[in-house]
Amino acid sequence: MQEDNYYFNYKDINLYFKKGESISILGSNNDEIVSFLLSKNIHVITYKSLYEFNKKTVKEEISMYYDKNIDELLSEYNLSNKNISELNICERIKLKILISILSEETIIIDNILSLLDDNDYKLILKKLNEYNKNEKIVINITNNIEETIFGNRLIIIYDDKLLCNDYTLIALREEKLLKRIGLGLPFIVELNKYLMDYGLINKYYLTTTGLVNELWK
Amino acid sequence: MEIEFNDVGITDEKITFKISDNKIYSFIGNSKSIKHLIASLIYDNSININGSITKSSKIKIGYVKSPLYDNFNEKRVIDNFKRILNNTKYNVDKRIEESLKIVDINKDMLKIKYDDLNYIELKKISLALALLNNPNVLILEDYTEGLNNNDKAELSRLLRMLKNKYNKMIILVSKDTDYCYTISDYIYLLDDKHIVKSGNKLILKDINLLKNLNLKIPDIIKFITEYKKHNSEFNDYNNILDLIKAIYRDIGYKR
Repeated sequence: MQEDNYYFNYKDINLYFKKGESISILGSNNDEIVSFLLSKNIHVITYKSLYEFNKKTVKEEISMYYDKNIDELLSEYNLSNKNISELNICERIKLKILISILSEETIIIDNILSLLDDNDYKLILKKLNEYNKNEKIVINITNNIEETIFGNRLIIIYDDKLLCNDYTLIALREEKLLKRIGLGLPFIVELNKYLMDYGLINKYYLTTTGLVNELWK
Repeated sequence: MEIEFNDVGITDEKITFKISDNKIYSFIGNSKSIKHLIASLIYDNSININGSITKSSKIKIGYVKSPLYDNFNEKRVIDNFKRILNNTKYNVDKRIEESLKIVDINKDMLKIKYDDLNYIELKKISLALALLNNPNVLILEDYTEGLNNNDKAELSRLLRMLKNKYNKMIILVSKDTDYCYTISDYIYLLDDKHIVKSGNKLILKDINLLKNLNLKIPDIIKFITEYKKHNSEFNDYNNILDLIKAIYRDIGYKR
């Protein structure tokens, strides 16, 4: 392990994360993993944390971490300056992630991305991707298998056992395992798998347009 | 069972709709839409409005609110159950046990404080609280977001049972278009002022409208829409297995 990588040991499982990686963690132990991280005072963006801010307004909160043009930042994140008590859930998530991007070397997210509106979900994925490119780490602890296809690596921990730790597309080939533990597959991956079984395609196409064009070529 | 909004002045616009019987209704909108306001107005008789809201006389509403913390009045989880069951005909311990069983939550959770619950535990216990008094209408706000596939399948089983066996009306207040597409009998699409469109689940095929409303296009609809650019006669399907078979019938023989 290089010194500048990030790691933690959960029970007997050693997990290492390289700089620039985006990792999804799924399985039956997500809650315990988050509790474990919080007990070690590791910063995790949880549902509860969305109701825990320090200041009264959005600008005041951001100014704790940023001393340049906050209006520009608000515009980038499609936020406006108002009292934090008036923020809806989607705005709270964006503000929390924005602050973490400004202040953390590693962002750990606990199952909240599916609460974002569609455009904001795409925006946050883009921002997290840019953050990744600056050699930072994103760990998304999630129940939503659809979110995994945006990460590089997928870790599945089930009943305190590490069942899978691999590049996302390789991990998603473990169809039987994923179905057995109730996670299923992302829609586009499942569609690819069935079409391969029927002999209609012979490799993965992860965009709808790419897949349809291949079927009709 | 019937709920009717007649020219209800929510913003500067007026809302009119009528929902009735044991059906699953979805009010779908983004986080800035009027979906939460409509749910509050259905539940709470004390909000001052223009126009009229009429509800059947024997209506009893169970409501899982978002934010989830709004479902709790007492610090300890158990005290929230007792508060609801206070002065009811039910055997308190038995009723609590039954409601926890429905949502698959261990009774050890009763001992802890609600703000120590994680996101999914908060959801499930909020649902157990909403079902406690045997409501005939159940409102779920942003409930499916964050659930895993197993939990969603369990929820679908529960909602269909409540609808079909116990004749309850279910109202989903959501942005989860994928889930609503699988389960809804009738859908209302909302923006920050209006009901923009209503109808059966096929209204979710209006991709431009969903984009305008900042809502996700259900995956299966997105795929079928793209596919129809090559074969406009291709049918709509609700599940992946039927879709695959149809694709094979459509183009498999050519390979």
